[in-house]
Amino acid sequence: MEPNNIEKQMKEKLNQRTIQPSANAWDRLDAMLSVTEQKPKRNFKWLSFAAVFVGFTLIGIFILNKEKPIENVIPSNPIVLENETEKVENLNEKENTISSEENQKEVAIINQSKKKMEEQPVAINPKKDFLLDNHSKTEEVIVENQSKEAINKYVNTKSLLAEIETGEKFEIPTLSKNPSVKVDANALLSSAEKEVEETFRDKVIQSINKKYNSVKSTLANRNYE
Amino acid sequence: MKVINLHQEEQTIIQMAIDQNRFAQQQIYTKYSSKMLSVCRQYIKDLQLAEDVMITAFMKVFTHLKNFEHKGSFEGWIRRIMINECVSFIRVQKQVKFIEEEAFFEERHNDIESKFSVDDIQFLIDGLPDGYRMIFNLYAIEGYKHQEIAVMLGINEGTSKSQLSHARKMLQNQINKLKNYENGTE
Repeated sequence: MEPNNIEKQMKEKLNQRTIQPSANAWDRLDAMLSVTEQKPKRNFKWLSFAAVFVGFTLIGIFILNKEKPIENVIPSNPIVLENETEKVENLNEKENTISSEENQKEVAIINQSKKKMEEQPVAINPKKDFLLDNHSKTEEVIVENQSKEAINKYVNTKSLLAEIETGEKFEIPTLSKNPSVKVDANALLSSAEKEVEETFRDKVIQSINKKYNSVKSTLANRNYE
Repeated sequence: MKVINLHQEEQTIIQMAIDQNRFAQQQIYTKYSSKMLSVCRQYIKDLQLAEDVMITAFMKVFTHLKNFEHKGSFEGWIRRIMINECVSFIRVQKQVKFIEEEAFFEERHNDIESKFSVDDIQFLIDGLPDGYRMIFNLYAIEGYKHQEIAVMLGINEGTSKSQLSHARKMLQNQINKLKNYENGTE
């Protein structure tokens, strides 16, 4: 099966042969090469644009998310402390005066909230979610107190009217509930302060938004130019 | 010194072509295109198709140039790419199928002493069917072994041997016909 003489002769002559390709063969190859060279460049450009866009959006989201919790956390701490002291006062006063079922429930709720508040400083982990939860809890307690204030006042007027009309009824709890009104006023003040601070936060956010929009519009105008 | 200089020159041109320098790529093309078109023409009867295959193979040469390790000759590396491209073209376009023949009778072929021109040789090779021509070219002209051909074409080694034997027999008949025609006996 070894190559014979004719095959050796064929090999020699075919290896020496040259066939000149047509004139446009190189042009075709050149066009094919330029097509393959252009592709990766385009892809790279689009990828870079996409990467820059994604990067900016991520940074924006990160900054916006970071701003909000900081503003929420800072005012929450003093409020928590104020509420603690206020509720301690509340408890002392109410323990001395009120013995009704509703007041007992209040005390139970406030005890629970107090326990939770007391647990906070021990933990001292300034985790955003934890503080936000506490903030919401204190808000709930304040709202409850406010509603009970209103009830107390309403009862007082009725009892006073009854006193005027009949001159018989005289309820001791009305007098005992008066101190609780003062304490709740403090809570209301603190909540008002918080609201003021919140409005300040809103103003800051609005000013940031305005600045962002102005920058965006200037960029858009520059692109049009 | 000249050989060293030539080798260095080739290396620098290859490096430039890797860096997509069009002038270097054109230099490589002009140097090897005529030889490579001859190689492609051995496998493909139609010259235009052979040129198309050569251009496709040159594309592969330039895109895979960074894989060339400078161990063997650069011409040999390009030639292998050309042959592989021709084989895949024939297999895909012509849909050549080989009949598996494990046992075959190996015939002795008489040596022919007559001299042929390169055009006669090409005419004789063109007379073979695509499958026979491919295996004959790979074994007799390129010097591939049956094992290598079997791997390249995805066939048995025995099939490669039997196809070569059939090709040789057919080629001998054609040579005899050509000789008789030249002698004026036919």
